[in-house]
Amino acid sequence: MTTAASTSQNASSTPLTTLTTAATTTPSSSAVRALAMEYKSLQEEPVEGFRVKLMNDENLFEWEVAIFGPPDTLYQGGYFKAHMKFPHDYPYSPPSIRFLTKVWHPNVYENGDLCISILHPPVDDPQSGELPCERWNPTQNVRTILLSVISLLNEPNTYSPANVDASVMYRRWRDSQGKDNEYPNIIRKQALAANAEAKREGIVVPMTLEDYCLKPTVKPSTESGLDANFYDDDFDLETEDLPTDSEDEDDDEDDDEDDEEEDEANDDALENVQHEQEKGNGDSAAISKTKCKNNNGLVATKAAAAAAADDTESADDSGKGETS
Amino acid sequence: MESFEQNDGNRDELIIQQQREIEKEISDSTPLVSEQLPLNCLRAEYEGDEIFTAKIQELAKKYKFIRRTRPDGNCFFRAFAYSYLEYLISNNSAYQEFRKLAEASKEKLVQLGFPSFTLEDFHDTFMEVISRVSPENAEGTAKVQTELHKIFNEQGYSDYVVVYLRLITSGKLQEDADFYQNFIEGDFTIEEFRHQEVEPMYKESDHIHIIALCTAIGVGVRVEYLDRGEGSLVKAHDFPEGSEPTVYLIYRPGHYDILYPN
Repeated sequence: MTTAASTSQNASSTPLTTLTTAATTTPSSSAVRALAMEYKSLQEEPVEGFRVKLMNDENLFEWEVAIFGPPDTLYQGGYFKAHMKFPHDYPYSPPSIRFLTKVWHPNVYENGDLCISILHPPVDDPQSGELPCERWNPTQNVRTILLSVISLLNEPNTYSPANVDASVMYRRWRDSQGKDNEYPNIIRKQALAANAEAKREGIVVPMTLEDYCLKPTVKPSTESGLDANFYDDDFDLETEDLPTDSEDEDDDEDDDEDDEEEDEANDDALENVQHEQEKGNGDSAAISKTKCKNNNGLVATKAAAAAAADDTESADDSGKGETS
Repeated sequence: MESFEQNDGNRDELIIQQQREIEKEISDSTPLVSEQLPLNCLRAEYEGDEIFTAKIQELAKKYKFIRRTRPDGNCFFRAFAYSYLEYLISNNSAYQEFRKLAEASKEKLVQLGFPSFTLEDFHDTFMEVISRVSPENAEGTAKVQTELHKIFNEQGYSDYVVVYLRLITSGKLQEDADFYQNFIEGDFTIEEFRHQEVEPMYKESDHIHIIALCTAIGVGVRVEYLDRGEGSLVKAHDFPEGSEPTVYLIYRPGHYDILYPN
């Protein structure tokens, strides 16, 4: 009998006969087969922007991924490590991703768990009310996931934030045309800290588009024009006291508590956002000049900025707490 | 219970965990596709229920056997695939045509935006299954039928076939979006519907899935509805309307099995 995998390899990879022959007899055969195929292919043909390796060579279900911050974005030079865990019925259900490197981002929880639509399991309406977006299906894979993650870095989804403070801060930055630069400063600090960590590990992080792209690709469209206005002014000032990674790791217990609090906060924030949107519709003509757009293509609103400003104090506190 | 105080993410996880347990219970007790069973075996399930008993009696005049599929949300796709491939084993010209259609389907799906790397894997497995049930197999029809049954009870193959049919269905919905949009309830766009109700595994099928798949493959399906509806007659629907059925299914609320006409 020919195993399915031996006929299903594309030209670039050779059959994984040993793994898959054994696998077809176990319930998770599809998972082992799919993961073995993806892993092998990613080793042979790495995709720009990230690298993958197994946490443990015996176990295909847990990967360590490293995402390089895309050049010409806030994340330039960053080296973000994450833990990817696959369910036993992969690819029918999606994996989960937890950042090991500190990431201050509207869609990343305090404990590093990433919240992104493509990774939501197909249960009924896990994100009812959210705008249409990419969802999990069995043809999604590590490549498509990580490319989605990379684009999420620079285009946060502020409609269902996992980190409300980061989301508020991000919107304040966006809505102030870059005048309020607390958000980008934190991101740059984290990217630099991560870069230092990469250096300690002997990893060379690509800093230019040429190095970043293994093959010619279109320049990421995520860079907003407002970056350039203040990038140089603040960059040096803000990068002097880098946070060390050591104190940021392994504080799971605290994180669990944070999660509960944050959950309540999330609900409130969601209401705020919806409220802002309603107000925003009426206002949109007045602010049509703004260049700021979020990932859903809706124009940012003054109302949103005002609401965000109300939260300034708490956001400031936690923002600093996060990085110092 | 502590679980109620967890955050939403954990609540999702708990729901999924519970689903998994139910699925495991079902998978331990039911094969993906059963042997052929006499239709009368249905009566035992509805003993003492006059409506169902009468309807089963009526149904037994037209159908001799039933083949059960595992109730895992994929039953329509699995039943359809099994039944149609079984039909093709003894219809070589239809088989050859279907094979061509299946071969060409990949390109269409790539164009619709499915990632080719993984799509290729599903497609290759789908084509392998088709090859293995070829009517031209020298070992004879009975042997091929055994092979089909074996393949469909091997989770890896069986589920990959389901995935691929889901993709074909999704592709058809997209291709004729203007038409299918009319059948979608609520504020869903075709795009959302495909991503949430068609492409994910374990999502149950509705008429719209059936029509899209039958149309995409060019196969007529007759579904007999065994429910508590009025009268002693079992209502049948042909998809697409007016087509000559080659696949016969029985629907009981929430589930499809395969039927064998006299």
